This record gives sequence, structure tokens and C-alpha cells, in this order.
Amino acid sequence: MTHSRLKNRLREERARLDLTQADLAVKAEVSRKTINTVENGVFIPSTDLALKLARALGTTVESIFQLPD
Amino acid sequence: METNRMVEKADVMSRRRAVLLLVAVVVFLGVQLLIRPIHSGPGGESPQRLLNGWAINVIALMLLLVIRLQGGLLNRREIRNLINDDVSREHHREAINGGFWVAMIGAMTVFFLPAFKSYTAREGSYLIVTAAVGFSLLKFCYLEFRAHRDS
Repeated sequence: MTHSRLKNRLREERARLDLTQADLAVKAEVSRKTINTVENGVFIPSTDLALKLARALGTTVESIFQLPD
Repeated sequence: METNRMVEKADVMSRRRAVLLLVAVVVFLGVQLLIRPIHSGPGGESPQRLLNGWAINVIALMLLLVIRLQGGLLNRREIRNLINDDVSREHHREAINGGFWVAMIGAMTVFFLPAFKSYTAREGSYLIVTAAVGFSLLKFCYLEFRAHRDS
């Protein structure tokens, strides 16, 4: 999903681990609403939220979120 | 698992909050715009109209506080933090920002309105508060519903 200010691969990373949005929300200890809005590019995550998501997916922040070219 | 249940409960409560708030703001706007309980009429500024004005201000303030109450006071702190997470706090900011601009535009409109129609300061305030609070709450509800919509 591409937001005008941030590209994100959250859905792909989640699918790689075969997790639902609710599963990822539980792992990252955030709400499912947060996962949904970040995936859809509606909400740009804060630093700590990005770190929580990366830790929950066992990857790095940079592999999930990138600046647009 | 405990965390699983908390996330599910927070999801449900967050949706419920948006629905209840939408109902409340529709009722609020309905009363304000259709019944207009403080507007001057043959009775002038009667004690009843003054009391209505106070009640409406209290209700408007309570509605604004609802979107700041962290998921209700009856839930555990962890659930409240999930209900009032980054996304909801951002929605709150956007809603309040929008309400501010509506209030400013409303105030400027009210400034020029006496050229066309006379009204009291209370009625002017009533218009501004109704427009700003209504807009803020509707925007908050819209943003929350959008966030809950499945992709």
C-alpha cells in the first residue's frame, strides 16, 4: 500500500506469516483498528508503533516501511 | 489468551463507542436544529430558556469529553489504552481541529449576521457551539467507522 508520504508492506509481511489482522494486533499489543488503518495507508505509524509491528513480525522497520522514491 | 481477549474486547468497545456517539450527536443536532430550545420567541428570555441553554452547554461538553474518555472508566487500563490508541487519538485531534475551524467560520458568520437578522448573543453562541460540536463529533465518528471498516 502506498501512502503519499510512506510506502508500506505490512499486509505482505503479515501474509508471509499467515496472520490475520487480529493475530498481528494481539502480537503487537495494539488494536486491530490500528493494523487496518496502517495497512490501508490511512494512518502513518509513530516510531514506537512501527517498532512494535516490526518486532511482532520478526523483521525490521525498514523492511515494512519505506519512503517513496 | 488474555491479550487476545483484550484486543477483541477493545475492538468491540471501540466500534460501540462510535455507534453510540453517532446516535448521541444525531439526537443532539436534532434537538438543536429542530426544537431550538433557547431561541427567542414570544416568551423572550424566560427562565426555562436560560435553563435549556445551560443544559445544552453541559450536554455539548459531555459529548466532547466522551471522545476523550479512554474507552470508559469501567474497563481495565490495558483495554482503555487499546480503545484510545494512536489511531483514536489522531482521530480526536483531527475532529477537534475541524471543530475549531467550524467555530471560527461560525463566529465570523455570526459577526456579519446582524446585517440581515437580529438575534441575541446567546443565540449566536448557540449556533457556534452547535456547529462546532456537531462537526467535531460527526468527523470523529466518520474516522472511527472508516478505521474499523475491513479492507
